[in-house]
Amino acid sequence: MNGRLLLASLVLLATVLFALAPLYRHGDVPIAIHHLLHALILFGAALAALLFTWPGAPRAPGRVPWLLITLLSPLAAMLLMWPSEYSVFEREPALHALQHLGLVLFGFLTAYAGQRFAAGIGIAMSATMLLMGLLAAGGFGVSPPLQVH
Amino acid sequence: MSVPMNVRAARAIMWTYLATGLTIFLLMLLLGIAMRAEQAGWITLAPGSFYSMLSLHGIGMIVAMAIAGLGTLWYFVNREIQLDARIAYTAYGFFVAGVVCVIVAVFPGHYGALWTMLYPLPFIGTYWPSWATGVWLIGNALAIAGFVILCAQMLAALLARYGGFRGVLAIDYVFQHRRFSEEGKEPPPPQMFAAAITAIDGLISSALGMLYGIAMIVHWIDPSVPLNPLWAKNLIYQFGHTFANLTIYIAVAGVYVGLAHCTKRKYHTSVPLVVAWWGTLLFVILAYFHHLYMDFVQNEALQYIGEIASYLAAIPVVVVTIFSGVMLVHRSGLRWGLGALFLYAGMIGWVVGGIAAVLDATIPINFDLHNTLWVPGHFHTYLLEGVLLFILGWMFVQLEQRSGTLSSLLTRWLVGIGIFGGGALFVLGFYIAGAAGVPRRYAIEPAPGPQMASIATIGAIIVLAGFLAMVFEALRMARLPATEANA
Ligand code: HEM
Repeated sequence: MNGRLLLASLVLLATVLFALAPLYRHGDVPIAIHHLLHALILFGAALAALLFTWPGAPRAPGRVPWLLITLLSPLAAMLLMWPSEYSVFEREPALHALQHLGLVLFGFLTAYAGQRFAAGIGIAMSATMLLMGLLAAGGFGVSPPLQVH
Repeated sequence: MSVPMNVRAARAIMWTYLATGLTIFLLMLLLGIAMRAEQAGWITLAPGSFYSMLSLHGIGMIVAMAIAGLGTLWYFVNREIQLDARIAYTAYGFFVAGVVCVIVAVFPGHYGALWTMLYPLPFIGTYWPSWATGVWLIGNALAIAGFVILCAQMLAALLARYGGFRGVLAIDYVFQHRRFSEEGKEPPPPQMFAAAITAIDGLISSALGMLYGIAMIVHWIDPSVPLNPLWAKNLIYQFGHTFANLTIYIAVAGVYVGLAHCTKRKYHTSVPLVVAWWGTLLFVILAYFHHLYMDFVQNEALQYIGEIASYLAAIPVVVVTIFSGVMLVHRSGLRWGLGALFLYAGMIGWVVGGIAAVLDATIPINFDLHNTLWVPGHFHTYLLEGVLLFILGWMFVQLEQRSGTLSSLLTRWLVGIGIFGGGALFVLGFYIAGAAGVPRRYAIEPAPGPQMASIATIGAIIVLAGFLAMVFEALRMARLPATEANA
């Protein structure tokens, strides 16, 4: 195994261990912080996928299914970050860990499928997914009370 | 001489996108006339109908221009590196599904919280059922997905063709100009900057649009999930403003290629042009802050960034493009067919609409013009008299080249007076009423709104007549036999 693959495997392993945190750590985390931790999981998973597929010489765009996977995975990840589910997840650590593993999967798929479609697209799609994950902390399930009813 | 398969497939895609975009445009134009006639007091629509129609008209027009323009841009990229046609049709499927959803949300759904779907308006005190909001949101998400697919495909192709971002953005061409030229290298042609900036900014802003869409869909399904209204407004305006603004940069590719065709000269990439496009790349995604000038809770620094970015996104690229365009035409012996006329007139619309836009983006002036009819004034100028004309211009350049003929003088006058003259009258109504402080987005307006709306409605009907004349002329030219070189 070359150094790059080893590094990719280590990053993936660390991300999975981090994603399994609900199994060995308990306690309430505010929603905004929770989103940021999720973004970290997405980052780790995408980074691992990019390392696995590196180096990809720029080549012409490839097949439709890869493109659809890299398009839909970040959306699935954002849906998994559905804030009101936290209460259920907080009560069920196994479910919570499963949700995190889902984030690992979608984060990985975004980058991997993107790079399989064409070199550079996995990076671009991972960057925009990360942007979504980080921005979610600003208002997805987090808000001052509304003044209108 | 027969046309290669790839070129034929690419042309089919371009014409499919063009025809779809222009058909949606025509339908939305009819809605626009009905709304302006109601503002003029000529007709009375059922309560709420105006806002439902405004929602559909706003989103429909922007998407129509995007579809027509993207088909053309895709065609240009395909000339540099062969693209997979199936991807373009996949994106097309997403666009069509999105458009159908949005239409269903309005007819019969009566959705009426406008294209901005600003949280929490689509959920509070509505006169339409909740399902209509859901279908509207899903429709928008589908259309954004179509856009992302095309952006990703074009970006991938450009990266492959020009050797990564460095090549796509012509960084060596600018910073090591002499060595670059000595090595006999060529920077990407101008239309590829339009494609690159559309793809990069499109991917960034679509991410924000998608996040907003998902958050809204989640709130629709589960109202216990709150969203931060200021955050939501930032997201939707970042996406919405950028997407609407990108339509001009998408369409301007037609100027680079079309004017070069007409003048039989080459539209060269120059260092100022590249640097101007870098400005657009960076500042288009920041300019939207000017929509939040009145949001006192917004961080103050962002307001200034919005003002500066509004200037820097538009001015350099407009100046360089138009200057080079005028130079191209100067003493070229150009024959003024409809193609060249549209492209040239479109540049005027771009400048006038652009100046009106940056005026409104200037904070002290915005105090007076914010949310007045000045706003639809500026964007109708650059969309109707800029983007649309660029698209029509490229379309006619193709038709004229294929048939080897130009339209008759009478047809050119009829179409020109209709679309350009009628359009000028139409937008003038917005500007005058806006400067007088008449608010935008009202079915019933205070004076001088209705008086101006009457003049504008006449202008819009003239636009309709000109547009129909243009359609007949396009169909006539399309039926002419192709010249041998274009058979
Ligand atoms: C002659 C053709 C057109 C007519 C008669 C027309 C009419 C109108 C009217 C009456 C409004 C409402 C203004 C207000 O009170 O706020 C409006 C808004 C709008 N129009 Fe048009 N329009 C035309 C062309 C276009 C084009 C070409 C585009 C874009 C490509 C466009 C995009 C929009 C948008 C985005 C809005 C704002 C919707 C909103 O405020 O939510 N329109 N139009």
